[in-house]
Amino acid sequence: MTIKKIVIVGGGAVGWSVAALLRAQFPRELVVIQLIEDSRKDALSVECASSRIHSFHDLIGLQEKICMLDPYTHFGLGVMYEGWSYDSQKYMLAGGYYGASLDGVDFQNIYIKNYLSGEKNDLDDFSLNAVAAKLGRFGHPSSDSQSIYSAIKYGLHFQLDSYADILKSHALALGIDVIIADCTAVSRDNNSGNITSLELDSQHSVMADLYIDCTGEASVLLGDACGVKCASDDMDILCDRVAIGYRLQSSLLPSIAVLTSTADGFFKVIPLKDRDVIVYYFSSDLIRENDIETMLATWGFTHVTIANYRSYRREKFWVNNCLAIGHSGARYCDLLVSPLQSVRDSIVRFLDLFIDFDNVDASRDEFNRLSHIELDNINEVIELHMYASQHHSAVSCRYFSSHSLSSSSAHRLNLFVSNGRHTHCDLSLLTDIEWAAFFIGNKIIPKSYSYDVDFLDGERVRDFLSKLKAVIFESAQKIPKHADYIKSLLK
Amino acid sequence: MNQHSIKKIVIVGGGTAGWMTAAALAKKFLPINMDIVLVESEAIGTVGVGESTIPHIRGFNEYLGIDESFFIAETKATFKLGIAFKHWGQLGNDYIHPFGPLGHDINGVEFHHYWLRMQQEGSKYPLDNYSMAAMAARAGKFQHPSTDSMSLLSNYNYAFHFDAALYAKYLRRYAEAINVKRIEGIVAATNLNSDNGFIESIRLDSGITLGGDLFIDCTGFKGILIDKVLNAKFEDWSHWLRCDKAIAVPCALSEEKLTPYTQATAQQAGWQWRIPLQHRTGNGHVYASDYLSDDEAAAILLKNLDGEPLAEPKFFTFKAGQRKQNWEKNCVAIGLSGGFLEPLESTSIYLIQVGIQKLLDFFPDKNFAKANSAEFNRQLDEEYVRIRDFIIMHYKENAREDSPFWMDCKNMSVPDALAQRQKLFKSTGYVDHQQYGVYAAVCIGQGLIPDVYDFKINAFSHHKIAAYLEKIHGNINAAVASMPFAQDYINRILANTNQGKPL
Repeated sequence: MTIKKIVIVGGGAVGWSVAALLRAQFPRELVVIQLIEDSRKDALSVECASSRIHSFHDLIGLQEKICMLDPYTHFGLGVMYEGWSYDSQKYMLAGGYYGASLDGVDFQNIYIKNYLSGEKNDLDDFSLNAVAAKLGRFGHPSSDSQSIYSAIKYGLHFQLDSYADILKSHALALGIDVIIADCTAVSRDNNSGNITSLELDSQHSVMADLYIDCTGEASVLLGDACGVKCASDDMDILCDRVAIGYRLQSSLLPSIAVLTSTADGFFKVIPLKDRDVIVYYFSSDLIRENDIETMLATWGFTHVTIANYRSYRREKFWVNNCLAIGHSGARYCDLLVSPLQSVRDSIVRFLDLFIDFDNVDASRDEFNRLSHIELDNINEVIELHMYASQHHSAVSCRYFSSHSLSSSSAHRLNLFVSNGRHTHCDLSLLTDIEWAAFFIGNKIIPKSYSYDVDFLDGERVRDFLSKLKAVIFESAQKIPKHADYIKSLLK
Repeated sequence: MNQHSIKKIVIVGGGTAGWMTAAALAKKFLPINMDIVLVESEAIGTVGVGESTIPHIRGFNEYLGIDESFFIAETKATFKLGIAFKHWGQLGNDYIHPFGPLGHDINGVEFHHYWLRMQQEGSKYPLDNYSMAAMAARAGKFQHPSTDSMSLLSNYNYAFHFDAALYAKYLRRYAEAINVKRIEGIVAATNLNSDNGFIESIRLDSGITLGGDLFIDCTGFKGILIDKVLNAKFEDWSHWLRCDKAIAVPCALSEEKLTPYTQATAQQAGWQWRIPLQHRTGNGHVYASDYLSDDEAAAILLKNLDGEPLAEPKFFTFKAGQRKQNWEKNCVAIGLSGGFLEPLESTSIYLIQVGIQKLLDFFPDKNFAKANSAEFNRQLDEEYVRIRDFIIMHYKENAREDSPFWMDCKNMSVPDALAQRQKLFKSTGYVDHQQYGVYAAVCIGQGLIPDVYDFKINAFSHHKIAAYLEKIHGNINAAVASMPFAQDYINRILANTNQGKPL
């Protein structure tokens, strides 16, 4: 068995995620893995990762404590959406569970029946995650499934340069070779289309059996060298700039990211340990860059940088012996789904499908097919988010002047509106209750609910809901204060 | 109660589908006063499909609260650990589709990759050797799986062979006991709403008119409501599944001990089933009439019985396919009225069950929202197509050259998604886990051997893997040896069961 070689081009959180996973999973005696760390700056500066991050960290063997020792990393309990479909709108998409079922009837239907009967409870009040987050509390979930605290689901917020460093040290410890250089030329075999070697500015030339393009939007290997084009602009949200800045905080902020719609775009504010970071997507024909800078300054955000932004996906993500992970293959705005989560999903998918260096045709086709399905699902989330806010948010309104709902989004919407039900798809991004929280948060309320709620006595249901709310609130108050918890954790 | 709630359900047709539906709906709507009527006629026979099942049937019985021992006594049931496929793929082939896993995954690499490497390096042991279900089936052994997940004796699943007519009879008693009203009669006419075409009522030959909010068509191939009245289109799949006839005959039990598996033996233009029950063995020959005459088919079947025939052979004609909309307006087709797939993988009762489950998941109100029935249809289609493709795969993946039927099957083009899936398995051994059954076992059994195994396992020496596989096989052998014979096990259950105490 000859030893094979994989070269990853581009570092950053994306490149080092790929490196760490492959090094952790591919035997060292069979595969050499080299990472060419280039001088390019990451387009993403901060990530609000959902609870799905943990299984990835388990796969690469990275302990959470290492991440938490970092001066920026913060726990995340959910995202608050503000002012999208009406001015006073505030609802959370919290991870974890909402409420509880009663006699086998699921919570969503109980909630909806009660809502339709006039008791417009705030759905957030039934999420331990949301209530705890708003109270500035945090604790790890209980491993005892009988405990109410097992309902907590948390993610992590990262400053990405710093997170990339964590991943890098981890990957180096696993045995990754690193070369610090920029790639200056790519040679390809004219017949097969395979990449044959890379020329580096360090005068080296490297050859590999598989090349992984983590060069971001530049897409040095897949786009530039292999000529894979952008397929469509279906994910375009009509914002062409993104401004990023931060403001230091003297005390720890609650673990909630906030996503707010404005007259010229929308912004996300993500709390880290010592600061919060703003990522503002806007349309340059609605507001000038200078005005954005001034506005952010009045809010206290400094070190503002503004970059061009566009959404796209390429026709393929893996051709010949070249695989693109991250922005080199596709880019979309992180309205609901973290782009780095789809990076993690992509590498895991690759790992799952990659069986042999010399037999990749069918794996490649399947990888490309699944990747497009995943992007279709992301697009569906973006589309429905825009749809729900089209009469209030400037960006969403513009979006619908040039888009219409895809048939799958329309079906999902109609199914929820008519009977409060959910359709299921491969590689689903949100759970049923998360979809329900999204719709209800935007005041899209089903006309009807599942028949089995009628098996329950109305009085009993009202009593159940008010007790549930009280129990959740009391339980949340018993969770430690976030700052205290972190202090004791890092001791 | 909601003013839009469905208040009356009319099920047309008894038989397995009708009574399973009636029982499940009656159980579900026990807390409220749902009016459920089932119309059937003694004059119309039932097909009585699917004497062989897959493990999901147990969930259905559990939902209804039916005690397993009672069920076994009542329906003359026996245990089933899988399906043995003989002469499939190649004359002389003999493999089991087991109800349960193969070996164990190690380091995130599925077991069949380790087996593949050993084959490439000279080993001849069949994949069955590493499956608890397959090994126990071959040895004629059965006991309930252990609840201790650490024990090898927990590492399999099971289903039943049973008498479908007795099952329907039992479910009828069950349903009638919880307020399902049975009416004897034949549908003579249907009354549709002139505005929206919904079924308002049916008139029976006795002159009775039955109104309802929701109609369930369990009338079998005829599809009296869904087809004749609502004209829901049928999608023909017979170009992939060429068998269009079956002949069935029960025979006396053989001298041999009870086999806890279904036998599916490939013949020259179709295949033959053998399903052992407590009191007889069910046999049938599914064949393609383009390639084989009825007489030839009957001769093949009768020649291959392992006991005296107990009745005259019965012939069935069918066409593989599915109705495009199993739910049309206020009518839902469940069972053969919705679609037909040959019983090669024992899925007939399973498909009835899926229809019922999805009907409960998407149970309508009187508004009958289009999105709701569309989602029901979409999910049911997905299930039909999944099983359809799995069955097509058994025909496509063959290297037989002894008959025109098999050669034509080998050369046919199959649905794209299946072709892609097979290509992926052949070139990499990758299994899409959304697929039906123990996919790798069936592909490999059919002779579709992946070209490569996962390169990561090259980090282990041949010796280490060989020793590991030998250990698994040895442990399975020891576990199987400790199990009782299926025959003895079932006798013991029957001896301890108080018969005749329903519910």
